[in-house]
Amino acid sequence: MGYEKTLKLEHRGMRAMLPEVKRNAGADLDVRDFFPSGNDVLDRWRLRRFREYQSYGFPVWRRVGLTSFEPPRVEGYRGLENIDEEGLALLEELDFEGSDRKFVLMADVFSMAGEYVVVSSPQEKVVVEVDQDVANSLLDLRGGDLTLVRIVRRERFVGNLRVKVREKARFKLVNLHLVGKGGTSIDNVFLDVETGASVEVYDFYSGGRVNVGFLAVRFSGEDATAKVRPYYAVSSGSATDVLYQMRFYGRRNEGTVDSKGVVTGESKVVFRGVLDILPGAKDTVAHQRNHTFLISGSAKAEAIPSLFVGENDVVASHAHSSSPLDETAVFYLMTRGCSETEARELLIKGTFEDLREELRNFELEAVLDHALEGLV
Amino acid sequence: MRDYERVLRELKKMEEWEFEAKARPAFELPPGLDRKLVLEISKAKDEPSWMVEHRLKCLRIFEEMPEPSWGVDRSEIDLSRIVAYVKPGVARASSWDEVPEEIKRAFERLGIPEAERKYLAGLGAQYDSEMVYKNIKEELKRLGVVFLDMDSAVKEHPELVKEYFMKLIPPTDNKYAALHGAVWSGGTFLYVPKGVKVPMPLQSYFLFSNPGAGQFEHTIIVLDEESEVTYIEGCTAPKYDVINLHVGAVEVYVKKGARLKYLTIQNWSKNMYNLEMKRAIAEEDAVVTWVSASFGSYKTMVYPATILKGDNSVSENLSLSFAGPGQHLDTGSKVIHLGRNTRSTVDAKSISIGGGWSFYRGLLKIAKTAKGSKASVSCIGLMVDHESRSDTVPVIEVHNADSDVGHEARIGRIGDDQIFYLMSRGLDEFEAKSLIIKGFIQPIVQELPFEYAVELNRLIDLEIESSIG
Repeated sequence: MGYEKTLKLEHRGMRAMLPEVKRNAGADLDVRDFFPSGNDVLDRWRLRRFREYQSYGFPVWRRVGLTSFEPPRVEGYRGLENIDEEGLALLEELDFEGSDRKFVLMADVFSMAGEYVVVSSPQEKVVVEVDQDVANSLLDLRGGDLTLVRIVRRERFVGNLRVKVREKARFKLVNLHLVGKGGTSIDNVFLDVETGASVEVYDFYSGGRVNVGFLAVRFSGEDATAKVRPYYAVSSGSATDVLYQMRFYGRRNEGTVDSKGVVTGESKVVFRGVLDILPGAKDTVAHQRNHTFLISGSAKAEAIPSLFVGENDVVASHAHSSSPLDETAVFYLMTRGCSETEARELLIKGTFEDLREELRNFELEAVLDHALEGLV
Repeated sequence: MRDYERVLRELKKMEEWEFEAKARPAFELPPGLDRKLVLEISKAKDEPSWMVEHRLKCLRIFEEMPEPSWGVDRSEIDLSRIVAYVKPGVARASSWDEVPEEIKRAFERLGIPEAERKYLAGLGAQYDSEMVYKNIKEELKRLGVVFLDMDSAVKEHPELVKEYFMKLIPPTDNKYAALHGAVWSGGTFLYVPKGVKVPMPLQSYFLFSNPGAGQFEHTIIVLDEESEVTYIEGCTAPKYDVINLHVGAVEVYVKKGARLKYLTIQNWSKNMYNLEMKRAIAEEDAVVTWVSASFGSYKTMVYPATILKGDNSVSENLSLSFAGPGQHLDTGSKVIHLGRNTRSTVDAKSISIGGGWSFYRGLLKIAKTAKGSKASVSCIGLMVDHESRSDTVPVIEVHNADSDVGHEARIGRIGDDQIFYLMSRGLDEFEAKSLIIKGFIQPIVQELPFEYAVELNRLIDLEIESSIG
């Protein structure tokens, strides 16, 4: 079975060429880093992946300045060791390319943290802090209403999270990336959404020298909804590169990506969006929006908000904008008694207010406040 | 099966209004591309040594450079079979009456004589690889405007040509730029002196009539300070069963306070790979406006680019891309802001119909030096049926915090309620769709001179008829 490609540029026998990814052949994980899981079925699957893993070098990502990658130190296997044949079939079904196939495979083969969880309970809230540099999780949400708060607070990280949101299930993901200064994090999240299901995502990126995120929603059924709200606070020379993909197979699905963030110092954000509406996905509603506040003279914002539409009975749009802080708003706040610094702080923090509200439900707002300290 | 038959039927319909042009070439060089061919082209044109050296340098770069790994699928192009240079079997004419009948008939299909009669001043028409007709009115001569075919300009104004030739599009830019540099032939050279405002549009037409050939015309436009001109470029070709290739290059230099409007109506036949490069550089207070309407070709890659080098310079880019059955039109724009307080707008519209694929690809870059700049990019796609495809991929890079940038894109269809309303007012379905599409492209049409607006509307009707009629 083939994996879900991030870009599919084919139409009625025609195709568009995709730029080749430059790769380097530096030090890499090898067979000595392959630790058995104790689950033969899983290990056979991991070995197949390992062969594919070896066929790629590490990608060179020009926009975030990633020219080489130092592999993590692998000290054992943990992750999907409790998986069964049914779970493996689901893994195959949720196979994907992500920001780069190499890193998806790395987490599949060499994970040191993660879980395979089947959830059917009516309502559950879970907070998980990832405690290893490589993680791989698979979540099969068979019904009910699950909220997962996932915190990645590490110096370096490569991770996968696959979630199957089955018919009429509801899933909320609060995904916090708080990468240590100078670190590198590459996270790939893939959500498959069935008929009548609903998904809500709050995705936050902060810290690291290179902080890369990929989140895909695949609408395989009908009448489903997904609301994705990415936030980013980029400072201290960080380069953050995030890609949000929604691919619509079925009819009457609705997906929105509403993103905003702040960039300051000698830092950079790259926002990528892919809305891909396939032929037959009638009555799709797909919107994507991003706004970047550039706070310092050296801050950079890049955006590639793509729309791919192969069906005409749809409503699809994207919008992107970038600007400095609104000086009239700063002036207004100063007339109300704020100092200039306080006014700017208020406006910057205001960008993240919806996220803060969400985190308040888990008493995690201090985590956000801490991440924003470097910005103001 | 039914889809396949329908596409064949539609293609057949389109062929009915495509014309034949059978002017016999004086000679054809053998197919293929090597040093011998490049030297033969140069010899046939009696070129100065600097141009011969330039061509050979470009050939070396072409041989060393890899094929670009993006854009439309170009695997059907066999460069070894493309005839690089075809010289028409006619001498250059100086009045419309002297142009041979078969060529004239082909141009008449484009409505040129009518336009000529009315008010268009200079007209250069490129038939295959060379200009066959050139008429510059006395008024332009009096104003000091130089409007020549490029071959003549190389000989008559070598220093001027040398200063600008392939400086904005260097052969190292990409493999096709190098190819162009090695085998270019024909094109236009336009120089407008300081302070001169050319009172009427100047135009060139490119007609392609040789199966399996390549066309590589080179156009240079130099607007000196505070000058103004509107330049119109039209392209067409009859249909053949083999692949044709067009790799033209347009270099535009707009000096301080000058204003250029560059209009293109591209109606190449549906067997043409259209890989054209267009680039402008705007100095202080200059204004560059690109207006493009792309209907023809099999596959297209065209992205008119403006470098806003001078402070307060402005770029406007209006484009329409009409992708019908079997077409893949990869078009877009590039704007690079370098100067302070520079402004740019991109307004791209596309129509996909009968299984066509329109693809917007753009780059907007605000450099660190471009403080106080403002830019907006708007892409709107209209999908007339569910067999077609419409994509937009803009790249936006903002490298200073003192600029405002906005981008929006929407893709939608013609609403049933819109058609129902128009049909309730007495229009049939075809007329209703045609009216809605014409309304959609109105912002582009109103930028065109009257004759071209009429032609554009006629093309729209023909394209719609062949796709949904």
